[in-house]
Amino acid sequence: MEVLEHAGSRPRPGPGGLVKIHFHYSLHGFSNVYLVGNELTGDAFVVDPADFTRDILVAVEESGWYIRAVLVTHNHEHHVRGLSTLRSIYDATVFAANASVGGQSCRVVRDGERFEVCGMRAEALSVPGHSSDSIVYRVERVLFTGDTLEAGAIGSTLSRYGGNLLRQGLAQKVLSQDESCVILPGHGPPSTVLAERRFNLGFDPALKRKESERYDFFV
Amino acid sequence: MFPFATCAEPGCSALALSGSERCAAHLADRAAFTAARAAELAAGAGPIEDLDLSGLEFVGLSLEGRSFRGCRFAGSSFRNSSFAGAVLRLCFFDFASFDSCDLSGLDAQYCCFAGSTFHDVSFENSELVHNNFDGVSTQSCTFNYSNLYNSRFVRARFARTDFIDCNLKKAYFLLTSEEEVSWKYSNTQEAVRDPDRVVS
Repeated sequence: MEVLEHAGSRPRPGPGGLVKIHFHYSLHGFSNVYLVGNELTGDAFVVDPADFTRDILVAVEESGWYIRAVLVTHNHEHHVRGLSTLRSIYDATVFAANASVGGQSCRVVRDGERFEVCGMRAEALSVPGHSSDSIVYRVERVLFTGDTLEAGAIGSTLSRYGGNLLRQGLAQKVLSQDESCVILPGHGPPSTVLAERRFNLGFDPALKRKESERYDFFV
Repeated sequence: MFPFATCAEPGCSALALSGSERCAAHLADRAAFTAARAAELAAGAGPIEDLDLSGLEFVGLSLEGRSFRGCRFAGSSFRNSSFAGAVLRLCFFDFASFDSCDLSGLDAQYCCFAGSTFHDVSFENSELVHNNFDGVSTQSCTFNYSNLYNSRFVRARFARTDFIDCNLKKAYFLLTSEEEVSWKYSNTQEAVRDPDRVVS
């Protein structure tokens, strides 16, 4: 495959320059699975293995990568269903807010914890509300937001308290990031921090009132 | 994915462009830089990967049938340009501007056009699956005969824009403003028009 040579493809100091990201749309829960590879080291990680299909396996092997890690944004089945399949093929460390996900033991991450994954700088940001274990991972300038935030909307919650908690967490930890940061959510298309600051409906006061009425109905 | 190196200008947090240590705002000669990059793009024929040319102004660029992956053109402007039949994967055109452009027959998946403006642009016969068009403003545009599955048009503003015979399944059209818009023959019942139907 021919690739246009441009100066941007030169090796850059630091691990951020040669990151490859593949996306996979899982029909199980219509979730996004991300495969992120470091071209310098050949190491890769997967974010939310809703599925671990043959296509993903082929993408890993054809790239000459080895999956060293899995980042779990939250322990909902349609984001982790492929985890055991993945672990049966690759000896990968699973990062999550829980000690165990789908029967797989995890390396527990805490809010604000910084760590290195496949030669890339990562940070775990706890943003509860959609679920108590929701983690947003910042890897270089990419934010894997799981079900907390997607293009134009925020994650569903079960109570007014959960909704407010989610909005607060997103405002403080996600939308406060640099405006050029890329958002790769658990569902739907990609976005950027600037786009979500401008267009996300989750922070619309009129819709928030409507949401409150819905919760009142259930109460 | 496009490189994440920041601009060499002290205090600037914007991303540096491909082929430079600086962002578009801090280029010494933006016109010459743009012309050189446009010539490179036009001369090549193969897939284009990991390119960041954000904030530049392109006129008369012909990229018909080209393939782009992991590229970024945020805030760039395109006039009298063609992406007809091009293939886009995980590309970012957020807050870009398209004026009198041909994007017909486009195959775009998992791309972000949020906040962009489109004037006199054709997307006819395109595969626009899983794309972010939130906050876009369109005027005299056509999306006719396109597949918009799972794409989002939250807070979009459409004027004299047609969506005739489109697949709108799982496409979000929330809080949009519409003036002279046609949805003829499109499956509008399968689009998401009510914020209460947004479930993740």
